Amino acid sequence: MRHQVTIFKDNDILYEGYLIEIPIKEDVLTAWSSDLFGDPDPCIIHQTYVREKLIDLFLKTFKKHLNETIILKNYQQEVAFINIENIENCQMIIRRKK
Amino acid sequence: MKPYYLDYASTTPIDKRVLSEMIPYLKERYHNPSSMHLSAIANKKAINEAREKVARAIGATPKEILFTSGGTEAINFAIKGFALKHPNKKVIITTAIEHKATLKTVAFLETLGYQAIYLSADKEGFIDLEELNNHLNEDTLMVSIVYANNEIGTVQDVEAIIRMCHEKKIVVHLDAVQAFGQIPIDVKALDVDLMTLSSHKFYGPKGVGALYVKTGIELEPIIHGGSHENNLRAGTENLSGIIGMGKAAELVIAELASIQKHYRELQADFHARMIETFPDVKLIGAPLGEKRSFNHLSYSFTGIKGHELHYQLAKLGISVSTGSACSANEITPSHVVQAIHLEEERQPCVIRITFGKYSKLKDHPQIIRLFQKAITELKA
Repeated sequence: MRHQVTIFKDNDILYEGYLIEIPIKEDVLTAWSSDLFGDPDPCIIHQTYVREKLIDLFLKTFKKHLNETIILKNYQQEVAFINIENIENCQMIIRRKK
Repeated sequence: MKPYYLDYASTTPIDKRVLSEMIPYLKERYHNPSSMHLSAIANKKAINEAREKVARAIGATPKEILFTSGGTEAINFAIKGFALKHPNKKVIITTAIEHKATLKTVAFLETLGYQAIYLSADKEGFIDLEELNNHLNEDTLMVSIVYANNEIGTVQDVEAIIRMCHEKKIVVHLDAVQAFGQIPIDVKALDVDLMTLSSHKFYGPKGVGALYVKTGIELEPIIHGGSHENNLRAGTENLSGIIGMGKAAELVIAELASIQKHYRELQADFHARMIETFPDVKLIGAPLGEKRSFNHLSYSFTGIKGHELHYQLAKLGISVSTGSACSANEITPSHVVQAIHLEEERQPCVIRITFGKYSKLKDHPQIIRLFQKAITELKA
């Protein structure tokens, strides 16, 4: 779970850090929390659980592309939960922590 | 995926024998125990028989047992009820490692003008008896102490605490929610004044608990209404729950010796495997032995976070608890973990493992393998 991710567009880095800490859209957290816990206003522990669940699913999709540059236009649905403007026009590299 | 439940201190599954005693009271024996027709009278009798069973399990008399909606209400009742009945004294002594039910109740009373003293705990979770003794005086209203700590398993020297308090004529409430069902408790031998029990911690149903109130101890009701529970706790009784709690108490006491033996074997075996497999693991709370709950192990790890390990273990079918809490908008080490001054680098990852009567020794090698898998994944 200690994967690092870099999201960039052209030469601008929009996010670089642990995958688990990636910005997630508020409405996605709320929807998932409602679905999992029946609670649209989750406490931080429940929010963290939702985050871990989302990242888990995300990693399943991209596991075979570690260290590669991924064009996110090809994965619009999979990255829609990330709270970065125009995420679909970005590129991404996921690395396992060294 | 095979599930491994290691969170018995959170709750226990209901014993089948308990459930079968309860079912008639959820179906055909639904009558209000306060009514005066024949079926209702039979239900009143059934409640009093359950009361007798709970009383017998702790060496009390039936009239000293009051049923509540659970451990939290019983703790609230003991502390608020005693405080409101005795407003001439204002100082409540408790510890920094109590369950939130006690801490929040005492904090509420502070808003009403009561004063709270929170005793510190050492690295193993024991309170300092000398510190307690130094605080006891004519202003002390009561002392409320957790018998066996839910997070770190430490069993306090309650005999000494009660003796010390009674020398100064100070009333003691014991939160025995985790202790009952694994430590034999005789309230008369202990001479405790108030004691809390919770049914779902010993294979009974949720939503029902009991407060032992020694004869002569007076409480102010905190729930007002009808004359239920000797005019002390209003509200139509949780009939099936009370029947279940009575049966659960009867069973756990009858089987206490074998339960204890089973817990001790599980605890010793699992701990030996943990320390052999994970060199950096540290047992939190009291060492194994008489001063630690027999079904309880809590560990800290370094370099990972408790909620992350919890999540990885859950994915592998293992249910445990973490020593973490919600605080505003961040996950913090629990108040107990902080109070025992666990090294800072160990505080973010505390995992509690608690066994029960359905836990199996033969599962341990596989559980340890799954722990290894989870930790390897997190540290990779």
